[in-house]
Amino acid sequence: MNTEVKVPMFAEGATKIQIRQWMVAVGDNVKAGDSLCEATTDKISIYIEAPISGYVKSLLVEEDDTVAIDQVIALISDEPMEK
Amino acid sequence: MSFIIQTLDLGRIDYRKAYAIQEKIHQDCYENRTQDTIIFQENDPIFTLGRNSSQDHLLRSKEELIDLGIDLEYVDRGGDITYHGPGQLVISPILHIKNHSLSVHQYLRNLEETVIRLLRKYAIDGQRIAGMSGVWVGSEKIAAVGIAVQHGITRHGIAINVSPDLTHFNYIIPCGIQDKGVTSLEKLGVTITDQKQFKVDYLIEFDSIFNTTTHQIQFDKREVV
Repeated sequence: MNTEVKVPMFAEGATKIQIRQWMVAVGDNVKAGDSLCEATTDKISIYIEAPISGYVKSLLVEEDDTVAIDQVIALISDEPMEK
Repeated sequence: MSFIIQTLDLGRIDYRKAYAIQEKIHQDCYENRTQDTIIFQENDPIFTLGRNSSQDHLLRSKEELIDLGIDLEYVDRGGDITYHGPGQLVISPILHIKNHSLSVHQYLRNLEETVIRLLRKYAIDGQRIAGMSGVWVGSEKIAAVGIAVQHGITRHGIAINVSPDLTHFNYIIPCGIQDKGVTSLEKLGVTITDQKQFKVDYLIEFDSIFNTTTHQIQFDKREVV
């Protein structure tokens, strides 16, 4: 089963939210609460966390992409990726 | 319910050393080894570039900065380039914001409000400018804000220009804003002779806005660096 990782509501009124840096790669094992990436507005930098423990199945946006609140940016699978 | 917050005054300190202390406290907070903390510091001259920085906003070469005695560092806060140096009070709350039922945005606005109320005590009319962060007097910025949030815990914060060398701001476009200036309490005719009282005054406003109770603890930098 896959769980969506969404951009949280962290800056109402923010006109531009950017993904600055992915801290994980596809296939990585993550724990719930681990930081997956850093997102910024003009004055705020936040770290978006894994909602569940599992394996990073896909990263749906790239570094420097502009994203919206609630946009799905990654999928976490509860099963390991096949190598 | 009022939250207890400890206060650490690092005094004049190298930016990187202070950053290491901030990171350690942030991690300790996350692992519940310490409580929420407000860090005061005053740095040696340094330009810091936040995550939204443009290199074009640094108007001097690295070699020129060395000659001027001003350091340079990239940091993980939001915002563009800014200056820290002697005479500027940097305040960094390490705070579980969810405990305070605050959105990150509201936290930022509250942080600005602490400084607006502090300045009012010193007869300075600090204000916000729509669409811009920080605290302003007229069209000049007196306090710059930039924060990061990880695991629901804040770091970085707000920097108040008490009496810094304002000519150092001429070497950058502060926060990337072209048509505004910077000011300080000193420039506005307010001299802070009792820095400790100034910090106490700040904490009174912080406690009032965040519904906290701050207290100062003894602190030995060697314990955490």
